Parts: sequence; structure tokens; C-alpha cells
Amino acid sequence: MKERMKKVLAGRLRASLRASLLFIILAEVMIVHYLHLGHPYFWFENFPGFASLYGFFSCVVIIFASKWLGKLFISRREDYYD
Amino acid sequence: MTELLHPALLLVAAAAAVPLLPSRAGRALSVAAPLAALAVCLSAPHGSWAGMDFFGLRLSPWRADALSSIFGAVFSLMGVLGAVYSLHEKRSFQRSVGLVYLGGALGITLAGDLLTLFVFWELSALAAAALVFAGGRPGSGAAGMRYLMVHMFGGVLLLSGILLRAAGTGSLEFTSMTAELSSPASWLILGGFLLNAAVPPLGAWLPDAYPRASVTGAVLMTAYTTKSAVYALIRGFPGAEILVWLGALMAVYGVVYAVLENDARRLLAYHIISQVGYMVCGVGIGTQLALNGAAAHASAHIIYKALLFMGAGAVLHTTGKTRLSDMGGLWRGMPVTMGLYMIGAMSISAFPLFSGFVSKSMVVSAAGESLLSGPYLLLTLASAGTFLHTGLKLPYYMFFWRDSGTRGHEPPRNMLAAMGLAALACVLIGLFPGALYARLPFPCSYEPYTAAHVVSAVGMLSFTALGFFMFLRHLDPVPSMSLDTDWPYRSGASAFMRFLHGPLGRFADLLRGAVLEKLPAGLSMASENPRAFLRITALEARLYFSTPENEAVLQERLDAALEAYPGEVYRYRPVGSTVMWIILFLLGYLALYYLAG
Repeated sequence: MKERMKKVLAGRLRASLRASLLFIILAEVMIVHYLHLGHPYFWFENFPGFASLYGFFSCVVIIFASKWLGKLFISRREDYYD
Repeated sequence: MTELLHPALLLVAAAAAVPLLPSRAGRALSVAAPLAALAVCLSAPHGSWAGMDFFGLRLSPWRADALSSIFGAVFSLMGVLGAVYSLHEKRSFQRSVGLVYLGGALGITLAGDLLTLFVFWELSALAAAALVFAGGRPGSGAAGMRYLMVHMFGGVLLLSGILLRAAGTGSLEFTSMTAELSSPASWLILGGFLLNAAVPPLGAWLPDAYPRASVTGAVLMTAYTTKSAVYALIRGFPGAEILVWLGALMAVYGVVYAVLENDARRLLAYHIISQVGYMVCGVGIGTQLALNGAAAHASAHIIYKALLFMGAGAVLHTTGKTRLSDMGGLWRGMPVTMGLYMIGAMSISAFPLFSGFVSKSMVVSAAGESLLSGPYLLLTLASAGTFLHTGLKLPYYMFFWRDSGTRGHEPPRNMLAAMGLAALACVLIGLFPGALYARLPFPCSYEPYTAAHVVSAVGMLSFTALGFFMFLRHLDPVPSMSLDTDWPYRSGASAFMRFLHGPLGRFADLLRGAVLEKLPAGLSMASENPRAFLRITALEARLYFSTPENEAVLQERLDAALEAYPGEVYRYRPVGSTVMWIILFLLGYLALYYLAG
């Protein structure tokens, strides 16, 4: 019973997080792209939802590029200098 | 008499008094002295005092203007927070050194000339090295030695630049040197500044040393060395174009290393490099908005970074753990610490309503206004990375993740109080940026809270969080260490020592045998009986080139000649060889004297 409650709650939580992400990107598109409340510095910022998409892109790039560099030459055993 | 109120003097005097006073009074003084410095920094009228002539050069150890006041005030405030955080410490050594460190940082911000700047520069380097030595962590001693050597090297760069400049221009005044960036003097000075600002490839000392300082010492270290270098850059090299890209790349570099890092405090140390990148970039852009942004971001950064280090330090203090791969589930035991840490994390991630939002965006906007699309994109990318690590990864693996079995408990009350005060400052700056903006070096009309700015920031951060949870398992901490630009001198130093002990040692033995034993033996034989000496030498030479047939005959004749040698055969005596060396040096000196004359 308790396990089931937990599952339902986790599902609800996930759904509401998804909804809020959607809401945030829609708000950004509305405010920046249609209402023109901001004043973009560069052409690429006119892309709808640029900040959100760039945030996601940055996160993915940072994780995977760093991991790749780490494998390539950065990461060593903890006692490397000992 | 007002000269005696120089905050650096006040603090050094207090530092000398702290260990002598009874414990309670020493603790009180360690909080009161930075408070007094704060009052002096905030209330001193702008101008220059205590000027003096030094071998024909003008020194002005106390120059107050808007730029030095804001840095001085934030440094002092940080001194108060750091002192409160370390009140539980029984030994007074670190308390005292912390005051010297603050004194050095204040001396740098108030220095109106480069020589005074250099003196305080070295003072703060010594104090910081002492904090690393007193760290009591595994490897603290070696890390302190490395810290000292790297900073002495930086100090030599700085001093040579200063002397070259003084010889060239006849003035020591500390003003903008951007226009003279073609001269070697300015490059040397810039190099010294960049080393302390931890700009790669000169910055590997920072993540090396900070995690090895003690819990309370590290909190002070995060504030002073790099930010006094940022101050020196704002004052000395505003608008130096090279700094734009150095700063932007530095912001990304710190973030990349943070992904791979397993030690909580070293992860935060890499984020200092990343955050200082924004300030360095702002200095390079050099517009009024950018320089204001650099100063504002330095101020906000000092407080929230200290708060983050205090949080990670509290965990280390109560659990003894600093590796993320050993942690997890700590929120149960220390919810207050977690809450306060999260305020620092929100601030560094530039959430609206927190301090980073109102300061970091000034630099990013300045990059936009100057139409620098590359740095603009890099800085925004680094913002996402900052939130990813300090806002999500670190608290997730430290406080949630799994139940590691380590419970932990809240740290001593004074630590929580210092964290509370820092958190309060973060929130107040975020809510009322006007108070900070009014103290910036240039008039400031920046408005951080526009609808577009707030939604883009929230959008950027939320989708970073989405990426984090999607690829969570790729971020699981693994025990490892990362190669950094300190590899040449860390591995190089041991290779050099092996070379000293091996090949070079054997060569030295050979040389000693030849020069100290064979050569004097020959000389003494030659001087006592030249004829016999020549005969013996000739026989030895013939023996060397002998054929098997005549070898026995020659050996016999050599033995006979040695037997017949009148007087004692030379034996090595240290006194004799010392006398020989003295005579040789005197001869050399005489020759030099005549040649030069």
C-alpha cells in the first residue's frame, strides 16, 4: 500500500515537473518572442525559447564533453602523485 | 595620527595580540578587528593619506576611492563571517593568521602605489600558505610548500615588472596600465596578477591548495587571494582585450573540471576559477557596465562562495568526509546546513532573488552590449554548468542520493550563525541590489529584474535541471583525480629529484674524484719532485697504451719509480683542498680585478 502510494506520488510529481517545464518555456517564448519585452543582443536570441534550449544544450555538452576529456587524458587514479 | 587607523595595520596589530590574550578575549578581538576595519573602509572619506618618499619614489599606502572602498568593505565583512565561523576553534594560530591575511588583502586594495601593493601581496601569500600548512589534512604540508613556491614565483614576476616600470617611468603610482601593454614591465605585472587570479594555465595552485586547508582556513582563502587579484586587474588593466577571452575560457574550464571532481571542496574550488572568469572577462570588456559588473560579482561571489565552503566544511567537520563517493543521505542529520548551503547554491547559480543574479548578469549583459557573441555564449554555458554542479550535483550526492550510513549532525552554533549571516547577505543583495549598485565604482543604472531577463534565467536553469536528471547516472561520483596544469611542476619536480640523485650525482662523484683528489695529488707530486713526477707520468701513460708483451716490464719499472719517489705520496686532506680552493678563488678575483680595471 505504502509502496503504491509512493509510486503514484512520484508519477504525479514527474507530471507536474514536466508541466512546469512546458509552462516555463511557453512563458519565455511568449514574453521574449511575441511581446518583445526583452531586447536581444544577437540574432540567435530571436529563436523561440532560446535561453531554455541553450540551457539544456549546455548541460548536455558540459556533461559529455567533460567526461570525454576526462577519459582522454584528465582523469587519473587518486594516488597518481603519491 | 589617522595613518595608524590604516585597516591593514589595525589587523596586523590585532593578529599579534590575539595569541597573547586570554582565549575569550582573543576570540572577541578576532571578530571585532574586522568589524573595525569594515567601519573604517565604509566611513573613510575618499582621498590619499600617509604618503611618503622612498628613495625618490612616492609611496601612498592609503588611497581610498569608490573601487577600493567596496572591495575593502566586502573583504572586511568576509573577515567577520570567517572569524565567527572559526570561533569554536581552540587554537588561536589560524584566527591570528586569518587576520594577517585580511590585513594583506586590505593593504592591496588600499595601496596607491605598486611597491606597497607588492608588500601586501606577499604578506597575504605568506598568510595563505600558513593556513594551508595548518590544514591538518593529508598532503597539507606538501600542498603548502607548492602554494608558497608558486606564489613566490608570481611575486617575482610582479616585483620585476614593478622595478622595470619604476626604472622606465620614474613613478610607482598604481593606475591603469592598459595603454602600455606593449612593454615587458606591464606584461610581467599582468602575469603576477593573472597568477593570483588563478587564470589558466597559471591557476592550478588553487584547486591544489584550497581543499587541503582546514575547514575554517579554506573559507578565508576562497575570498581574498583571487578577489584581490581581480581588484588589481580592475585597477591596473581595465579594457585589456586579452582578458575577454581568457576570462570566458576560464569560466568554462572551471566547469569542465568540476564534472570530473569527486572532492566536494575541490569541486567548489574549480567553481571559484569559473566565477573569477566572469570577473576577468568583465575587466577585459572594460565598459563602465562591465567593470561595475566585475566589482559587483566579486562582492556577491565572496559571500556566496564562502557560504558554500562553509556548508561543505560543516559536512567535513561533522562527518570527516569530503569525497562525494563516500556521502549520501546527509539531509536527515543536517537539514539546516543543507538549507543554508542551498541559499549559497541558488546565489552562485544566479537564481532570480539571489545575489548572483544581480551581479553575474551585469557582466553577461556587458558582453552582449559590446556585441561579443563568443564570450556571451561561453559565459551563459558556464552559468548552466555552475547550476549543474553547485546547485544540483553537489547537494544531490551530498545530501540525498542514497543512504550512505553516515548520519552527521548540525555543526557548532557559531558555524551555523556564520552561514546564516552569509545566507542573509546573499538574499538581501538579491532582493535589494540598489544598495550594492550605489557603491560601485561607476554610476550604475542597471535593472536586473526585467520580465524577459527573469523568464530567460528561469528557463535556462530549469532546462539545465532537466538535463541533469536525464543524464544523472553519467554524473555519479567516481574516486579519481584530475591532471591539471600543475603537472609539469608536480611530476617535473620528482623527475628533477631523480635526475639529481641519479645521473647528476654520479657525475658529481666523478668530478670530485678528479678535481679534489687526482688533480691535487698530481700537483703536489709535481711541485715536490718534477723530474720524478714526469718520469712516473710518462710510465703511467706508456702503461696505459701498453701491449700485453711489455705490460709486465712497464709495471715493474713504474713500481720501482714509485718506490724511489722521494717524500710522501699525496693523500687527500680536506684542509689542504680548502686552502687550494681559497688560493684559486683569490687568484680568480685578482685576475678579474685587473681585467675589469
